[in-house]
Amino acid sequence: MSAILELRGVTKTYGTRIKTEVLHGIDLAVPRGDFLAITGQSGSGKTTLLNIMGLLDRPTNGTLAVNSVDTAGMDDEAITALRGRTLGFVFQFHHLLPALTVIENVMMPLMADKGRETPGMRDAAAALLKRVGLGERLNYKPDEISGGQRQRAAIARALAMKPAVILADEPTGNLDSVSSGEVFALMRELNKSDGTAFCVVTHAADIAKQCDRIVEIVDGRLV
Amino acid sequence: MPFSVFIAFKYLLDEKRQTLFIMSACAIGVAVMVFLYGLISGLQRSLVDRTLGSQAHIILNANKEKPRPLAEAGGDTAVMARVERGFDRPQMIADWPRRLEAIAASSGIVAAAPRLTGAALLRRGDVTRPVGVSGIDPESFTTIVPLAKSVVAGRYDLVGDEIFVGKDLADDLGVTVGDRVALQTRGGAFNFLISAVFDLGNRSVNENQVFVSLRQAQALLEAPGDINQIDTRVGEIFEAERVARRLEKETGIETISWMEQNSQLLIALRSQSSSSYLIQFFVMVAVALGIASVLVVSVVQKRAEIGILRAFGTKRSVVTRIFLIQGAVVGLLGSTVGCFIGTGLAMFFRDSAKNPDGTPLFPISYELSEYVVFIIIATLVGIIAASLPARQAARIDPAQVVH
Ligand SMILES: Nc1ncnc2c1ncn2[C@@H]1O[C@H](COP(=O)(O)OP(=O)(O)OP(=O)(O)O)[C@@H](O)[C@H]1O
Ligand SMILES: [Mg+2]
Repeated sequence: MSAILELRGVTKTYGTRIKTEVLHGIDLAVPRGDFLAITGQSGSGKTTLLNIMGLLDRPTNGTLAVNSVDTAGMDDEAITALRGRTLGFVFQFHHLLPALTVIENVMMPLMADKGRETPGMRDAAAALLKRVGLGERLNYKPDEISGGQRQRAAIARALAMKPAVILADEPTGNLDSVSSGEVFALMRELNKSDGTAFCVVTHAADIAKQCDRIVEIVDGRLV
Repeated sequence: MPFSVFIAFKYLLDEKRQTLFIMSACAIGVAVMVFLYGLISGLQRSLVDRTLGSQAHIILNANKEKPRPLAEAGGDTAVMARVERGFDRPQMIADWPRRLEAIAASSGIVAAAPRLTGAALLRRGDVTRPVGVSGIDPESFTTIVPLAKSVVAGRYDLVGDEIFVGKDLADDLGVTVGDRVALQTRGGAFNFLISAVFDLGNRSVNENQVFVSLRQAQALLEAPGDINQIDTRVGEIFEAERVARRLEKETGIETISWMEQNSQLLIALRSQSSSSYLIQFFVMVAVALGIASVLVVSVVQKRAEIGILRAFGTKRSVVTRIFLIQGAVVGLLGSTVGCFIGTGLAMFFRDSAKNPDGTPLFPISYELSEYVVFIIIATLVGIIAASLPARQAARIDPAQVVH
């Protein structure tokens, strides 16, 4: 089984004077098409783990392989390119760029990759937005749509580069239960239809239950 | 459109008030620069024009001898040199028609004219005045010093015993065109008929100089066929000193440029220029600080957005560029507006400060190339001002700012 992400003995220590080890020897593999829930108490290290899996942060010790390639020796530019092409992100807060329209936000990862807008980009972004139910809101600004719509736009943005895996840190944490259910259902459906893997950090037990796998972090260790 | 330009413009357009604010700062700064530059260069041009209105750019004069050492300096010997007046009679330029031609054809020189200078007493009735007499060829002389244009009465012509006198001398003696005056030298007294009264805009010249034909001067000063001075005009007035030094080496005749003759004026102009540059420099420093501080705040406000850009594959170098472009655009557009404002101010000033006769106190005008320089400077200032916030933005670590 080919894992997209594979962590071996990952530890993370914060601080230079007072050192606190937040993660202690994490081993975790995310195979293609996986739908993984990561749960744990507040402060247990879920976000820290997700940042390392998402190449947003580097482990203190241990290795992270993306598509079986070790990332330890890569420089910032290589990491940035790999992150942009392989991984997508959804956060608790939507983090859409307020200066851009919804469709421009979805095109952003594509433009960052190619360095400019190229033919077909706009159509691809529009198609994605249609899939997440925002086909009528392409040229709205983020502050002109609802919270659930913003989070769906954020999911469309995460999908733009057709990433192998999307890392979602409490994606429904800011939403009411109806929107929350819709957003989660959307992620499940995308996982089924496209085979995009998802790693979802969540506190909600009912959401975790609907995932393929659940791992729990307790004090920086997987149980 | 490159991605960095796209995002930079989105940010500038999204924060309209902030963008307008820093663009105005830049426009005001550039307006001050343009205004000051126009004022200073207009003033200086008019001072230089006025100075050059009554004198040749370079004169070669055989009378003014240089101290010539009798022994060569070298080793332990230092040589003191001074001029010993060797000749009672003024020195002349030998073989002058050929040398005049050579000088006129010399590089940097656009015109040359012969002149014989000397001193005489001008007599009218029982009033006498010591004057400088210049024997000239009116046609070629006026290409060096605009004497023909300076005629306020009479006609610009020296036929036979005709003479030009300055306005102040004419007023002083109570004479005018058609009157007779006498010039007296060791060689005797000669009668002249005033054919023109001139005003070269320089009181000392108007009071002390008279012009006669070359032939008359040669007779008066007992120098038949001779001249002792060649007046020249150069193409580039501020090249005059360099050209003069070269001519002196080539001809061996003592050579003085207008720049040497007016060294005090030039020092004054230069220090005026440098103080105006200093003011312009500090104005631009203030503009740069304004742009930088606004962009620094903008980077702080956009930390999370920059983190998102980075998370979705935007390189550090592109983040840097996004902010540098904002600085450049602010500088470019702000300075373009500033050029208009500065020119408007200068024109208003020019039209409100006038001489009693209604002509402008001094000319103010701009060349397109000067605007281009201002705009380039302001754009560079914008980029430099943006470089600190840009670096700050590029250092942002997505893991720290995105939750
Ligand atoms: N940048 C940092 N510097 C120092 N300590 C940090 C830093 N980020 C996180 N921590 C610490 O690491 C531990 C784990 O934090 P993390 O954000 O991963 O928890 P979490 O499981 O995501 O919690 P929550 O459910 O509240 O989001 C916490 O004790 C936190 O204080
Ligand atoms: Mg967290």
